[in-house]
Amino acid sequence: MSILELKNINKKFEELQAINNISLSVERGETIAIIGPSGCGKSTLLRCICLFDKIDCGEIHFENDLIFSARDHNHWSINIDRNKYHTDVIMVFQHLNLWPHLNVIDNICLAPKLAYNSNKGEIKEKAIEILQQMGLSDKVKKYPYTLSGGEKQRVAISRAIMMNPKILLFDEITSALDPEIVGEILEIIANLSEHGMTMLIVTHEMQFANDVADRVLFMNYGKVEEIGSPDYIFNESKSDRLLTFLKRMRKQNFTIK
Amino acid sequence: MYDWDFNIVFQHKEVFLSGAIITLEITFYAIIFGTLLGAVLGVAKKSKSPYIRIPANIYIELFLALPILVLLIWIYYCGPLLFGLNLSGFWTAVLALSLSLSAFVAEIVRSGLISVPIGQIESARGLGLSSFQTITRIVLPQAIKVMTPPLLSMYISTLKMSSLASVIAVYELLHSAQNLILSSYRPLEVYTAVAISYLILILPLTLLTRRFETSKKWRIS
Repeated sequence: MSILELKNINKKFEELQAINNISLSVERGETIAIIGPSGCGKSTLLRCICLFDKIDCGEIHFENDLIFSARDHNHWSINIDRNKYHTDVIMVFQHLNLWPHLNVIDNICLAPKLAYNSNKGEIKEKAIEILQQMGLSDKVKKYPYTLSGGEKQRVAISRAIMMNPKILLFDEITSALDPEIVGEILEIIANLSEHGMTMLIVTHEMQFANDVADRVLFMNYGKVEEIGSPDYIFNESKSDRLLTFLKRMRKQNFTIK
Repeated sequence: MYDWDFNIVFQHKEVFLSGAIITLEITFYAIIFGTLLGAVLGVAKKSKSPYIRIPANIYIELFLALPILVLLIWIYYCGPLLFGLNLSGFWTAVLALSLSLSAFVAEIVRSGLISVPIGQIESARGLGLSSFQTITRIVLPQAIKVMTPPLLSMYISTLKMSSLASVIAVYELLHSAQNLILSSYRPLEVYTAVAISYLILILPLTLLTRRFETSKKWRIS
């Protein structure tokens, strides 16, 4: 059963067609890696799913309900409580956007405290447990500026997981990290995938996409150029654009089996 | 060699004390009104509606440009004629200082608000916070940290500018002291004491500003 369905969505920024008639059905528990050259609309796709950017045309269905539809730029309707939707579909940003004035535990507890009426002790217990799993037990009272890039990233992921999201969207979250830390973050995501989290992951790590994703989606000029199993995308596809892209990525030292 | 005699100052401590109290009162009211008005103007300046934004901009530009002394004298003499204002010297000083301060506060508030990156707001909205919660929990705490040092230095400046009220015969610190000079013929001692009095009033505020500037509990990373 699909948890998220996009039907013919389009998004234009002035003259640029950032998203060009994309349809996609995401199954519950599925991990989809989104790859493609920079500027091809990968991030915009995630932002549209999150309703941060409003699609110009098309439909977004979530758990079989039509939650957003648009005929054109001025005619659109939203059929869901946005605040509620944002507790189910959560994006982890490239720039993390941790809140600098709150320490680690407050950063990850604020949203659940405000969103759910469960008691604060319970939320805190859960937070401590998640921070332990993330190897951040000793950082509970630290402020974000004291953390390293990898630690910040793990806090950002913890903050998202705290909400018990139904879908997690990752927007190039390893691109600002040192190469040695990338592995540890990707391992966390792989682990989430094994536990059945539904995820859409924009990434430049081809090896990771190959290893973890159930399906890989190749975007180019706002279109879905190719979509299929990692095996199909990385070994079988005959799409010229995909092959050119992969060749370029290989040149930049990304190894693909 | 001039023969310094500070006895006159010690004999008339109450002149300095009552003057200092009026100075603090003027400053206090000006800070309250100026900050409230300035906060509203700062938000108005960011408004999408030109009917709100443009008047706010005109107001701000006007009072940023006008020297307080000119404003003070103009309100004192022209206010009654043009607007039928019937304010005492004390409230004229409060009004002039508030109007001027509010323009500066508006600029500080606006720059404080835009200093919070859009990503901070998106990450809050993206985790289910309402727009009100986003403003009170995420934007304001960060904006206030940015705004506090410049606000405090504007408050210090307001306290100093309150001495201008002496020209419209408000018995604040400077004018009280000038009065004492007329009867004692000891201007050098009295002005020295005035300077020291202002220093005593302002020093705690400056130290507070330093503290905020160097506060390292958290910072933008």
